[in-house]
Amino acid sequence: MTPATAKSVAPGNRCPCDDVLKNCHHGLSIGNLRKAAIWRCLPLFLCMAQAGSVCGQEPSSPNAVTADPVLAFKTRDLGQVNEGYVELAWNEIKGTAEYQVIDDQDRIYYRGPQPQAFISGLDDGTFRYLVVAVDADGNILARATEPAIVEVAHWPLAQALALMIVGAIVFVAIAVTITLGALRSRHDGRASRGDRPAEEG
Amino acid sequence: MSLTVSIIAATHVLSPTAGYVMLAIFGVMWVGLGIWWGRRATSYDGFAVAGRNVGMALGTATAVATWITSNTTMLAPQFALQLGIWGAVAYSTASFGLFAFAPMSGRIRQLMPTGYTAVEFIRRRYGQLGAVPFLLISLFYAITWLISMSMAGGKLLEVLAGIPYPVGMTVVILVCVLYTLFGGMYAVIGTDFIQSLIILVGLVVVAIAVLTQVSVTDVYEKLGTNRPMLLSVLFPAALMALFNNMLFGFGEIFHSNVWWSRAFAMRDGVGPKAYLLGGLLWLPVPIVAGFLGLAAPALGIGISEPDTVGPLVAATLLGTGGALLVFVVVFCSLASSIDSLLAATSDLIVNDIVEPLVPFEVTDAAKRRWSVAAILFLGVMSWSVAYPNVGTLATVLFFAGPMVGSCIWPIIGGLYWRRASPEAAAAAMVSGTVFGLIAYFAIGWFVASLVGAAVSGIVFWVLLILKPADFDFRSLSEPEVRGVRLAHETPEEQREQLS
Repeated sequence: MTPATAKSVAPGNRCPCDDVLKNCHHGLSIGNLRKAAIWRCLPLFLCMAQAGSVCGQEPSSPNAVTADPVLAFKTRDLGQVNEGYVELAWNEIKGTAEYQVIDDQDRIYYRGPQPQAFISGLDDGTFRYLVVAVDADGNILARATEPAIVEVAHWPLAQALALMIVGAIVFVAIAVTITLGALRSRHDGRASRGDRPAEEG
Repeated sequence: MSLTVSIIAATHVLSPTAGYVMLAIFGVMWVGLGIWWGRRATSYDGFAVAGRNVGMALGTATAVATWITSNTTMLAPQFALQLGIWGAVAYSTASFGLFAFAPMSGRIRQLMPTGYTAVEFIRRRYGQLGAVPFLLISLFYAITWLISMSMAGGKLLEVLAGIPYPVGMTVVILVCVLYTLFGGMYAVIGTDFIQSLIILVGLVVVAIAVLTQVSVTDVYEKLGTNRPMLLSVLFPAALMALFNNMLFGFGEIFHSNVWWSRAFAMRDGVGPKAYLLGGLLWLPVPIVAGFLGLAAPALGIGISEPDTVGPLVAATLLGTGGALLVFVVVFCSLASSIDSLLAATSDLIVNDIVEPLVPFEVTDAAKRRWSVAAILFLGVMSWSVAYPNVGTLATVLFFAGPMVGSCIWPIIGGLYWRRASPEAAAAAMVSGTVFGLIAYFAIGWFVASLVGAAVSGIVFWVLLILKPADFDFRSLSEPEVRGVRLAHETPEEQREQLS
């Protein structure tokens, strides 16, 4: 399944509940609600109660089509990361068998049923990702229209090497201390038949 | 975390029925074996330190099993997935902690032939000035580790078999509490022996099976295209993590009563060899586990949560048989660490919190009863905190990195240098913790232990010169005298002061 076959989503058919849905991490299933912090989902119920009649109405235009599900990243601007890995998350789409995360060169970075992806090993640069929801028959249910953007700028190599050298010095100091201490302890133990431990200053 | 659990439940690789059956079989087996081995734990010495007569085979097995935690099966692949080849190497350096502790265990046994805990050593070596921060760090580390392992148990069982988190987490804690309760250190070390065999055989089978299905060349080529930094020799974060992880491991092993209690439990002369051999057996485990993490992107296995990459890749590649194997390995690694923590932390509570506070001589039978109460308390507390499954609690364990890193020098100095003073030890622990935590927030988790160990080392050495003590190591092998003793006082001088 290629992203090119995705159905277009009419931006105008966006339900006001979507923003709340994006912020409520637990979806609507009973099983999920059981584990969820209920108060976090409360705005969703209020939204459904108050705006449900609006959401459920047919569009006012007689030519409008039924709203397609909207797929969007929870955070689009992921800012700058220094370790080359990033976590992407998006809203769930009902009936999805698999989500696919692709970059702007159509390389697939994630395929799986969960609305969350972990991508690592990125070099310096700016990366843009899109997500597509696919059903069990391979049909595209929805695709994000706006990419998630992350800028990777690894820590300065000089800083990394400096800390590595500090670590090596600490390691060597510990190893030498233990080795000398153990040798002296053994020597002193032998000298006094094991009843007088080492006394080093 | 709630989100994670809810979504990964749909992708488990073993049927819930199979999971429940395995859970029942191994749960009953561990409890039965714990009761069987624990029948000798009639005295407190037997219960807390297995009669101080653990031999080479059991000693090595318990070192390996305890150090192969759920962190090894979850975090080692995560390290590789996050930090590439250096990440797997960095994780394997944790075995250096066992190598370094090998000679120290002999020294500990020599200095304190009747000792019980690490805090007891610090208290007698440095007085309350050193004991208070050390006890706080030890309890923080032990309790957060215990809770995070309990949570990991529930989470992994849900990932692998679809067993609901509360059920899996409860069963894991219940089984471990039961057999530790009945058998103490006898049961812990006995079950560790079988668990280590299962873990090592399981990992070898998984490694062989994965390597027959995955081409290393293919993994290399695909990573080079999509994830180039995972193969880079000059990956800055990974380079910083290399010694940080090693020092985290040093700090964990050097300070934790899990390892000290084993040093006290092993027969004279066994500790150094057992820890050395345990480290050698443990060394390749993170490399094998790490390869699973590196293979995931190349195999197109979508990873949502990096800490589940290892079990998911193994189970996905190896099918139902592999999933069963992974389930058993994971359950064994969880149990072998949780039981050790329950036993070692209950020793801390009895010997270093309750006993010093009571104004009368404590009998052996009373300490045995208190241990049972402490294990029950730890089990109930872990269950209560782990039940809501709040993900941020697991990340709290990473705060322990700089804390335990700052304990390295006070422990080494305390074991080998008579000039190491209480002031140096306390200042080293506090300064190392503070600066390590600053580094944690300013740079990242991958430098916190390194900074903590480096700063505490500098402070310790400076105060060693400016404010030296003159400690008599022979006092450690004598019966402990109640009350606060200054570091430079001999037990005789202290008795005179008290009288």
